[in-house]
Amino acid sequence: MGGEIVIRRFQRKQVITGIGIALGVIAIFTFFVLNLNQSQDPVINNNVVANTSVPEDSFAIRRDQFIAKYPEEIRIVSEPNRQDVVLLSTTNDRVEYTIEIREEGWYQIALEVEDKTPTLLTNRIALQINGEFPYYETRSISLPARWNMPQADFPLDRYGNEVMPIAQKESSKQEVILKDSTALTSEPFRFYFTPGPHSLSVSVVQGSLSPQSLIVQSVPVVLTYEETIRNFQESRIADSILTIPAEDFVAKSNPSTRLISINNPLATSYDTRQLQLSVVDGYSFRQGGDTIYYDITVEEAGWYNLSIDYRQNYLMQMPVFREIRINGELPFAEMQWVPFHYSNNFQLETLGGDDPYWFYLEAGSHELSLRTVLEPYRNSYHKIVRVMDEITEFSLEIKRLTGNTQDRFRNWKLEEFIPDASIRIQGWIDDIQEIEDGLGQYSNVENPGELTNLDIARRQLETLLEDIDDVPNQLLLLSDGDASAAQLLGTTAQVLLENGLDIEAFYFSGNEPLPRTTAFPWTLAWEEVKRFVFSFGDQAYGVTEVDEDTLEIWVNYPRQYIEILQQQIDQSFTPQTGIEVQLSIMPDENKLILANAANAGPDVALGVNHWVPYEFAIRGASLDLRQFNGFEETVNQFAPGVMIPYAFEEGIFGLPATQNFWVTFYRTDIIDSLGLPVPQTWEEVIEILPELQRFGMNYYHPISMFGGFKPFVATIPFVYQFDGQLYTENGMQTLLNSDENILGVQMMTELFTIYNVPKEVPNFYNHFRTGLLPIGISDLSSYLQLTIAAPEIAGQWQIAPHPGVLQPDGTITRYAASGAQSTMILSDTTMPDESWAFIEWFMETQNQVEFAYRLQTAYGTEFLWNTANLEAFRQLPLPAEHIDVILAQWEYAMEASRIPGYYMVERELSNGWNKIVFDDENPRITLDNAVRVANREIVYRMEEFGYVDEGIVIKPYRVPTIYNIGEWLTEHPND
Amino acid sequence: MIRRMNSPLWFLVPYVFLFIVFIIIPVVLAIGLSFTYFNTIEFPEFVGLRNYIELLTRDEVFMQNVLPNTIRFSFIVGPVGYLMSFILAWMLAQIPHRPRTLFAIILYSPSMTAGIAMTVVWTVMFSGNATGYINSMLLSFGISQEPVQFLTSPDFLMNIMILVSLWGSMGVGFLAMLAGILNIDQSLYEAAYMDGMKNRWQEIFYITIPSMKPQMLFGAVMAVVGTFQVGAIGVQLSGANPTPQNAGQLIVNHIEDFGFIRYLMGYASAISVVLLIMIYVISKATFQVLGDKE
Repeated sequence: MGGEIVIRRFQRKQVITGIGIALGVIAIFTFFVLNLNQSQDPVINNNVVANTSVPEDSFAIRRDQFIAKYPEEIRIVSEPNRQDVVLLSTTNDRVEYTIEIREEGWYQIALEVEDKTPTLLTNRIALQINGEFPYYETRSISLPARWNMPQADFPLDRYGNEVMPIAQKESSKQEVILKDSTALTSEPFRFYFTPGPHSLSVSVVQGSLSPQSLIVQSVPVVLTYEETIRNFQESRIADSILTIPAEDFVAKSNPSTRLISINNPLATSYDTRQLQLSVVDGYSFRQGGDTIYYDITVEEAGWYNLSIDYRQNYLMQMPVFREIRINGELPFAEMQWVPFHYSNNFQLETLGGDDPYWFYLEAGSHELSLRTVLEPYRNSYHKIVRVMDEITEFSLEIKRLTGNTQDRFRNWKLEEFIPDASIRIQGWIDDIQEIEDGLGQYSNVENPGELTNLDIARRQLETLLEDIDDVPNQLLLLSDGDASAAQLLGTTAQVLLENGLDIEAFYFSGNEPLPRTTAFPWTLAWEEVKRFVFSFGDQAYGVTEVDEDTLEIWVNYPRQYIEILQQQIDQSFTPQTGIEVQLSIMPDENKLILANAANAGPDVALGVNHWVPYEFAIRGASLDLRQFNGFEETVNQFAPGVMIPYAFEEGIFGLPATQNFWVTFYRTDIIDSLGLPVPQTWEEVIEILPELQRFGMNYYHPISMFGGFKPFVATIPFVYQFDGQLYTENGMQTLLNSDENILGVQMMTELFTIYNVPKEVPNFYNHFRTGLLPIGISDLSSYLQLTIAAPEIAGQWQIAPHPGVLQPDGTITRYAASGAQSTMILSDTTMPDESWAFIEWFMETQNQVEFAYRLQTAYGTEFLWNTANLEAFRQLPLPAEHIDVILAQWEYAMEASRIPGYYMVERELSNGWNKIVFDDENPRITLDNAVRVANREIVYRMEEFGYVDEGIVIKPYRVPTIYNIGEWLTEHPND
Repeated sequence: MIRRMNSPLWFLVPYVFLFIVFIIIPVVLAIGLSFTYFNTIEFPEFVGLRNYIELLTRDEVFMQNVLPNTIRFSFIVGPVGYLMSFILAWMLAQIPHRPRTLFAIILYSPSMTAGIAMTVVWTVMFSGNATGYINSMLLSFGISQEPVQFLTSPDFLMNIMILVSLWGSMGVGFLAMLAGILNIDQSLYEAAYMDGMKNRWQEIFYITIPSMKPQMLFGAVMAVVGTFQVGAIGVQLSGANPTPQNAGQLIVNHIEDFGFIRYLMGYASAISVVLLIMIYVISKATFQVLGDKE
């Protein structure tokens, strides 16, 4: 009772001051404890850093090797030595600066730069000081652009759902402080300058930019929370509460950072029926360096707490880290790496926990920014990578010794050959234990789930250590396969770099209590009931009745593509032509056939598989596009070979929209260390096989990806590359048993029978990552997987054109399939000219580029639009060397010709492979039989379509091939 | 008037309605379509018996692979699955109530999870990759030198299909038999022992089976019909329709191939009519063998 009276007698202001002092004391104590933790933390211990596999001259190591000496309040601005404005656009274009330093010590460097890159690629520069790279990292420093969000409200699609707006790259001059782009070191680079003149040079590694002033400035001093608090005289705690919905960010550094909507009635924006963007999608905000910026307007100056409504289910029971800046500056040192702990649901957390941090905000506008930083995980990451490298090396040594024998009952005396084997394994066990302990300190639970893999890896190594001589037989535990120690370590290293964080809202609050952000269960239940009822209404992008003069298009792409395309149509196509267009989702191609049978089909189908237009054409259900004006200009944008499947009789019945590519993928690290060339022909593939197989590795051919049925995609290169043909000229017979084809089929089967290439590989991507199949032929889907989901081998793989056959004139024929999705006009349409106008507009280079760009800025880099328009493809934001390889391969782009009954040829070729490989049958006899079966079917189907009557050819069928397809690519004469 | 309307036949209306909509109309349509050429896009065109003539005279795959495969598959999976159902049901009937329920659910569940989930298990098991379970075991024990292509090689596919089907054959028939055995009056056994029955074999043949004839018949019909209708399994295991070298091609796959890959709906309907007739004949035969003669 007494205590209450005492408090009541104090003035309100005094109580607040009291709390302030108490907070200060607690903050000091907390900080002390934190620091204590850090100094005990072996991960942050500098001696350990020196052991990692980071290059010796990296910033992370160098920065700690000199005595700290920080000049204060210095800002030296230097202009380029060339007077005119320069544009650096090709690799190694450079610009020089000279600076005069008076005071010795550490400085940081900022560069004023205008971003001139038209694509999504991030600009990268290299920095040299006095002709040398000061750090390893300065060979490639990225200058992330600032992507401004449009100021207006979110655009709505025609169903009232909010759509991600297209961000604009900031084109004006920006001052960028040079820092590690991966954010493995979170602070800006520091450079040590001695007094006197220094010459600096900036050269471009990727992108195009126009650098202006270079500024050498002193490193700002960042105080701790306790020091910051002490320096302030003001003590007024704000009365207001400032809500910043997460969707209000004004700029982002990663163009892919996007918003999603959640089902929470208490979210800052929510509607039962329409999707409202309200949450920053953590998956698109997970890479080191990803930053988002907010503009906040403070009405009332004073002290505020910062609370964040977030969900972090990206790192299981481990925190992710964000650097929080206000007006571009760290408010205090603790904001360098703010941890966000694991939570499965959204939760509102005030920074600083029970004794929240206080931020002093002046009235007026401020900028708040969050940047993903990985610094706390850096040392563990580097150590894991080093252990992985060492394990791989060790396993190669063992394989050299044992010659990759499969016999597990053979006994080895390993230590006679590798005397330090146990010492090395013990060393890794200790390292992993150390990494686990170090990482575990960041977590708020014992044994965090994310580290289970490390635990398993360590136990596997302990098992190996028990019987060291058995290690050669236990490589599955060590380095081979998905569950090996090396792979488990790799997985962990990879997830440590992906620090996703979903954010719903920020609150700056003083005395005012925070709002409730989690809904009551009954509210949620009621929402579900409402949504269930609404689900009986029209669904967005569903197939609905349309007006007479609206063009109806069914699209076989995911909803995101349709949203973007509909936007682009409404903004550009409809105003230009006056044609209204409605897009609908077509989840299943078979629906198109059924709808067509019921006379309820659309005018245009977009995104159907490349063989569908032919099936429609032969039954009179799709339109010949050669009759339209502008056909020639449109079709010239594609590779001629991909037009083959659309040709039927005299017409072309569809156009490609996207295009695939089959190219050689190879691991540069492995192939180089084995000293192997990248094979250009099948002969060369065969030559490298013994060496690969000696180390337990192999070559991957896509035939092994398909199960029982090997489609043309996998088999057709062996026909066309060997100068073979599928059909006779009049299309009535197959030529599968021609001499050329027998040669091709021999190669196709001997790879598997004589040369022992694996016959079944369900997942090339996994085997490629583990290095079991370090080289092989694959397509776009592998390319995307490896680009997006294999960070542990980023930069360690390359692509090269498909292997082929050396011709007498020295060229190599590399024909490979490239069919993907296509578009066609259905013959029931009442608006053929409008339909064509749409296709013509959509396939135009500039619109394809625009579509690809919008798609990626709205949904992220994984939404690659692999356009069939060659010129547009050249402008995609892919590395230039990859684009060159793909375009070179597309000179040999082709598809199998289609004739009635063609599927029997495809099946018999597949069965032929099966018989030769499994039943050891003779290729010639097998193919002779195949021809007999296929010919019967061809004649039967030819009869169905009226080319043959009673076994007599009454109308020849013209077979399109890569040699004569050019004859189809012109417009019909207008008469 | 009202009195005349007042007939118990009204109770049949829901059944008759559903039966007509879901059974009669589709069957009649299929029979009708089987006399046409129908490419799913253009209107069907009447061609008389041509589809049937072609099926019998021209369709090599049907005669050489599909029919023998289907018969071999059904004649093994049907009777063996039927026997296994009975034996397992009888064995389950011997144990106490709680474990019985548990085991019954365990045995019954494969037939429910049939399809995708099941083949995910089996394709991993029989994967032709060195990391497939069985291959990896064979390799590590040195039994084989390189991975065996269980699912793409025609030598293995059929046997694996039979194995997997047997694994999933404890379906409704099995439950019916279990119920049948449990419903037998225990006093019958006691009386028989009084009359001099000596062992469990006699018990099964003289008491159990005769007392559960209806369930035995039901199980048999379900087994026969079920095995003829199965088709997805070979395609799911090998990942292709047609299966490699037609090694696992069953009638249902053949129907799908013609209907949805070659767009010959009329021909596909003709095959399905043939399948209907086969099932009808065989289930009649089953009635003859197991049905009540009186």
